[in-house]
Amino acid sequence: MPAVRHPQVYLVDDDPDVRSAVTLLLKTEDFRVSAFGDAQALLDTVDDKTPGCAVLDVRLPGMDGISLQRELRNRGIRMPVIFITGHGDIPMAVRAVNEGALDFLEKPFRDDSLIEAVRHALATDEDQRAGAAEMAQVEERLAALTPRERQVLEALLEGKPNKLIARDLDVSVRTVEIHRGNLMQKMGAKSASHLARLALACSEFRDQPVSAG
Amino acid sequence: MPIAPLPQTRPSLSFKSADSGILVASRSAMLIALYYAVGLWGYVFTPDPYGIPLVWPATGVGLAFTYLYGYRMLPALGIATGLILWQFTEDAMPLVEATGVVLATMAGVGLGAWALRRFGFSPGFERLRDVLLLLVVGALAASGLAATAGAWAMAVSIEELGFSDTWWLCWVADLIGFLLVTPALIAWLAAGRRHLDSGLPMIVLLAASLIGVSALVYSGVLETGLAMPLSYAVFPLVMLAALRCPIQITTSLILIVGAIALSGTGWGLGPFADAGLEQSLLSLNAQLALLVLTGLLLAALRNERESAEARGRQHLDDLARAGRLSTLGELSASLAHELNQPLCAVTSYASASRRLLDRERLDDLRDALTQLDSNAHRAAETIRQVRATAMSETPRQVAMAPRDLITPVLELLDPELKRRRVRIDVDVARSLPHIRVAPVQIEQVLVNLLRNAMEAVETRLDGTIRVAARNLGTALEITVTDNGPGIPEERLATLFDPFATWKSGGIGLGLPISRSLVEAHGGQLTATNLDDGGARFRFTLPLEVPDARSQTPAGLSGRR
Repeated sequence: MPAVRHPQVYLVDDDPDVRSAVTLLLKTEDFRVSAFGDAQALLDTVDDKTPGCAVLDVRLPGMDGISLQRELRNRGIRMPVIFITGHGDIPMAVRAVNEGALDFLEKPFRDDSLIEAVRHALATDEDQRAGAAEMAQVEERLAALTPRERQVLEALLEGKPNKLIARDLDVSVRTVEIHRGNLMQKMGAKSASHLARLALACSEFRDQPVSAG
Repeated sequence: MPIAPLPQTRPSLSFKSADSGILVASRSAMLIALYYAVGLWGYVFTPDPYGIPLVWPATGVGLAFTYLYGYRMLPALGIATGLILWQFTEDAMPLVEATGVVLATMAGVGLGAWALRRFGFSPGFERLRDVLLLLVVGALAASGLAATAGAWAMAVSIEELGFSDTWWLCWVADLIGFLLVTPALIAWLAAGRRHLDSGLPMIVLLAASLIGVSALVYSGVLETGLAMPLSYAVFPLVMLAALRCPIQITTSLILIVGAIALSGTGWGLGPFADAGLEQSLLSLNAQLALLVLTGLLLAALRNERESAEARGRQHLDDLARAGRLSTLGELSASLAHELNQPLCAVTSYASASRRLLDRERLDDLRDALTQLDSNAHRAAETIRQVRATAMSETPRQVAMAPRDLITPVLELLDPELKRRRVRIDVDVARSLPHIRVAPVQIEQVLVNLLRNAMEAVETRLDGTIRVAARNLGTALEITVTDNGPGIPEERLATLFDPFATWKSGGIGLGLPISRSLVEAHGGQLTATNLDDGGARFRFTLPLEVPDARSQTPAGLSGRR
């Protein structure tokens, strides 16, 4: 079991003065800050389990900030990104936000704007992680179903009544009811609709057409 | 002298044009009157005994009107053709055939007008293809069909005449009439009096020479041996007209020459008259057709060259403007970045310092304030560097006569002044002492001031700009004065501020740049409004030898 990591602010700016000034400012608000001079240094440090958010300068040596954001997403790292820039042209801001940036601040920014943006980003990250953890749990439970229970689950999601499922699987209605009870228990579902919600949250069932409530 | 091309407006052929009934009626009446008049003239050139006119400009008149004013001219054309037929063939032609002739003429003219419109003929003869198109349409559609109708009419009314014998004569007669009359009519009716206000002495001289030569050649006072070669003297004169005069004048001069030559020859006078009317008119027609082609093709070539030059100039202007804008854009973008980085550090350290003070972390606070201070200095250093870079780019200054500085600028702007119909008064004496300037920079100042003045007077009919230079003893003063509306009072104070433009499309840097260029020379640029309207920009430049009012010594003036 790895040690629980605290959420951090990952700052990337090639200007050492800006880097240390912004680091100091964030630390006075009791954020944990790791600062880097280029994109690669950040990519070497974080992975998809790292909690926190990124504060990126748009113009960086080598890989620029917007490419860095894209690379993070490609690696499955979904940490929220705030851009800071000394150029602040609107097309660049639009591009960054279109590619999923949470916020875009022009240098020099007001301290409150940055602190508020970082706070919002860390909260967003926490929500995302909580959602992801729940989903991982559901997927684990789905994997524990027997092939028969899985067939019954798929039929239930298609909205078929027990009688019809029994005929399709060539078993008695009573057997279907037993499977159904077992899989509800395994999935930790309190009702049929709760079961549907849990299953549909998973990527496996996301495209399943739903006809019953 | 360059003359702007005629407007590109092309007439609408529709029956449902917006023209009022009165306008259509008066144009129809004009068409009938003109058609009938040139028809009468055509009948002067009718060799015995069959009455085939050897010049027939009437079809060309019909085509010009129908092209310009639309198919609604066709009924008038029919009436005019009918009138002529009735007058000159009287009972000889049965009604059915007469109707056929009228309809064929209308069809030929209508087809010709359609073709001109369809293939984008432009009434200003701006391109070679306009001339060639008019020629083809005239030869095939208008003259071709009208000649067929005419020949047919002759063959029907006079039994001895075969259709094929007369068709050729009718076609030549129609074509030469068309070539002489139609270009002049189209040019006048489409352009009116536009572009006629310049070069009047040249026009008068050319007209007098052409009429004089033609009258001499075709009055019969000269021997054929002398008159024949002299008849070619009209070619260089028409070529000169094509190169120097508006198209209306060129085509009219050709028409006058043609009219004199045809009338003279028709009456049996002049070098072409000896071979009998039919033969002599055919020879003359060949010469006239060449004359028309020479004039029109040269005029079109000139127009093509001038519009290519104008496009070239426009392109250069656009490039210069784009260059200025992009340099400015790049400069401000990189400057913004260079300054925003240290400013971001400054504000971040300042906010952090406030928080550190609240928590009484004094050692950290001291460090933060030291960092803040050094970043503020870094921003200041950036600004110092930009200024130093800008200053280092001062071009070399040379001594030159004020006139040599101003004249090239006026030449550069001459086409633009002409196009905007702005008069320019120049009062820059040759005897003014030399000034020490970077010519490119002061030319830029003059161009800026003159462009502004041109824009100020553009809407006036009597727009005038006065450029004057004066020796003040210690400096040279140059003024650019216009008789436009003056500078709005509330703008006077901010006139030289960057980006304070009130002109649409301006970027508001012309005047501030001009002022800093003049100041870099040690001079001053100021603006005032005149009491009787108009604005005056005035700037001073240092003399090469101060107080040169007392004549430049001969030894110094040669030192350049």
